[in-house]
Amino acid sequence: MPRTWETLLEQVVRDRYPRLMAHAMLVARSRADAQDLVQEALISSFSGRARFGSVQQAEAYVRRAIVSRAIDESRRTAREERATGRAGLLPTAPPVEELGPGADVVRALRSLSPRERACVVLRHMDDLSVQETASLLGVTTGAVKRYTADGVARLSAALGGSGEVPTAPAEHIWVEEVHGER
Amino acid sequence: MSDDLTSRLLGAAEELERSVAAADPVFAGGVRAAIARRRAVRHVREVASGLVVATVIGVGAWAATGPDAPPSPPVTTPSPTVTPAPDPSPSPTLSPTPSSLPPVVDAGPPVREDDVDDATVLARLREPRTGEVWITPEPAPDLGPVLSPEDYTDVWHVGRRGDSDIYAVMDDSWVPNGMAELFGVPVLGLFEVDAAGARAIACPSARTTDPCAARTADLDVPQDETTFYDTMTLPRSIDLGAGWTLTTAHTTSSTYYPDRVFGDGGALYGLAGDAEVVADLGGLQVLELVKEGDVPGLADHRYAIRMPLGTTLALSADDAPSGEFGAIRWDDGVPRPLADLDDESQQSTAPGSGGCFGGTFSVAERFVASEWRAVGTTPGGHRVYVPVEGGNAVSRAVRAWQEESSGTFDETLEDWVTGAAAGYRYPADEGFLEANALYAVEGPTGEWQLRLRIDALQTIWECV
Repeated sequence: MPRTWETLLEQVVRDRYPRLMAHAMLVARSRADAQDLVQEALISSFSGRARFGSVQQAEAYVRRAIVSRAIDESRRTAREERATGRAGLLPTAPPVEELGPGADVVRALRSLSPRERACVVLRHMDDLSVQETASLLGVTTGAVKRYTADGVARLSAALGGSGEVPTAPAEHIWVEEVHGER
Repeated sequence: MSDDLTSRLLGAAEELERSVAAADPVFAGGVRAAIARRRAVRHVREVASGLVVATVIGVGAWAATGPDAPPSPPVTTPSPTVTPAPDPSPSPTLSPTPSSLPPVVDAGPPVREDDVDDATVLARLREPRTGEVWITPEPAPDLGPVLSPEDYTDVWHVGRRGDSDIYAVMDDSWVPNGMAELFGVPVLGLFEVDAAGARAIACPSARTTDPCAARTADLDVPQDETTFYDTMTLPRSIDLGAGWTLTTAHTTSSTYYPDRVFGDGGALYGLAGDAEVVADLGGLQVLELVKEGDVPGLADHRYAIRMPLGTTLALSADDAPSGEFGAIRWDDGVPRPLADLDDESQQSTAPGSGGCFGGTFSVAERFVASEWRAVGTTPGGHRVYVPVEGGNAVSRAVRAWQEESSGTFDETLEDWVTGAAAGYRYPADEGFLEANALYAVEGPTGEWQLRLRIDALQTIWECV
């Protein structure tokens, strides 16, 4: 007989995978990254000690894990890119043009820094409080307010204005912020 | 954010959801298999402990030659002399040392072996063949450009071996904001540097079957999988006396262990909790780490290994004796199965703290023996005590704290709920006591170790 977590996992993957993927695509750098995020979030959530009483509870947990992992991943990628750039080994990969459903929003979200993106999604789509968002991302509440405000402003400009996406903040600025706040 | 923008975000999410196909069976199978592996060897958590830094040591001469120099082969070892790491602050003592040290240490060139018995490991910890000499860790900023180009890492000079200096690179980014007290200071890598260049020591144990290090700094430093240290080889078990035996198997088999092979560097940053040496193995010491618990009057304890480079490797709760709640033989013959255990290995925890950063067991500031009664026996033969009928002050405080500190997300209310509303498993003292949720065992030095069956732990949403 399957153990409880296996049964629940099976239900989450069967019933909620598209929704989790959609959530991941909003915070990931690419669609391919989104699938990795979902996979890693599922593994870490069901490997941990948290106990889920329902599919809804498990889904909510995995959604948060997706966002926090997106932050970790972007930090790792930024470090790798900086190291690669330093060594002059590879050119920077060109951005991939996003097409299809929700493309304008996805494009606009990707113009934000990873933390801005995470804060906007957690605060305004997952309806987390400032404190909850701060706890999840391991930053101060002040930082959450700042990232959210900056992110919303940039998103508004991108979606509500001419349609042009504002220039993304330099990744090194974000990395420096992380140094003191991770 | 305007309602319009929120709507656009939610609308985009719905569009994206509709565009995604269902997960294929291969994806689901892969996820399930990965989870099963991780759950089978789950690690708990660790904290840092105590050490004071002092001496000034010169920096290796290679620094100026840059990182492009080729790696040198492992150095053949000179005659060994080990400098023990300094004693922890506060006071040390008592050292029930391992009971059976072999009298002879083998000679000949050191080689890594598939397995090494504990007697040999313990003997080599005192007389290593591999030539390393550990020093009091000292910051080595001159090596920063070579070994630590990122602004969140630090280099420490920790030892020498032959013509090589040994350096540890630590990620100190959690130190300034205080998060390191919870999450530690990861050691990103251990490096040997000589005139030919730097090498990252990948597999420090003398056993080929022990895990190698997963972490390395983001550097073009060659991996050295040959060099190892007798003083960084853990025994499988450690006798603390009075029938108490610590093991290291759960710790080293954890999927997290490769990230922690070199221990945690918090002690080098003054993030020292109280620590007592409970066994001195020569190159390594066994520590009992102590910190204040969340339940008033209870202190959190856990066992750890102090590594020779001054770092601390916290041992899994499963490696400490008498934690196996499910294997306790109850005098009344009534089974008390743990709920939702699945294949979790950890069966008990420290009752004085929460589930994310708590210890292995708690010790009460004031333990009144008459308020406890013997009700069972552990597999190791230790008598198990629980609160007397009706409970006692400790049991009431523990249950109340675990319930009050519970928190989760209620999907019906679509909101966070805390305290009793979070669905803590034991909402009344009566049930808590009936389940023998809190129990005590007399430890190796006569202290009463309090433990909480794992399903009586606070309801946890997530450890962030």
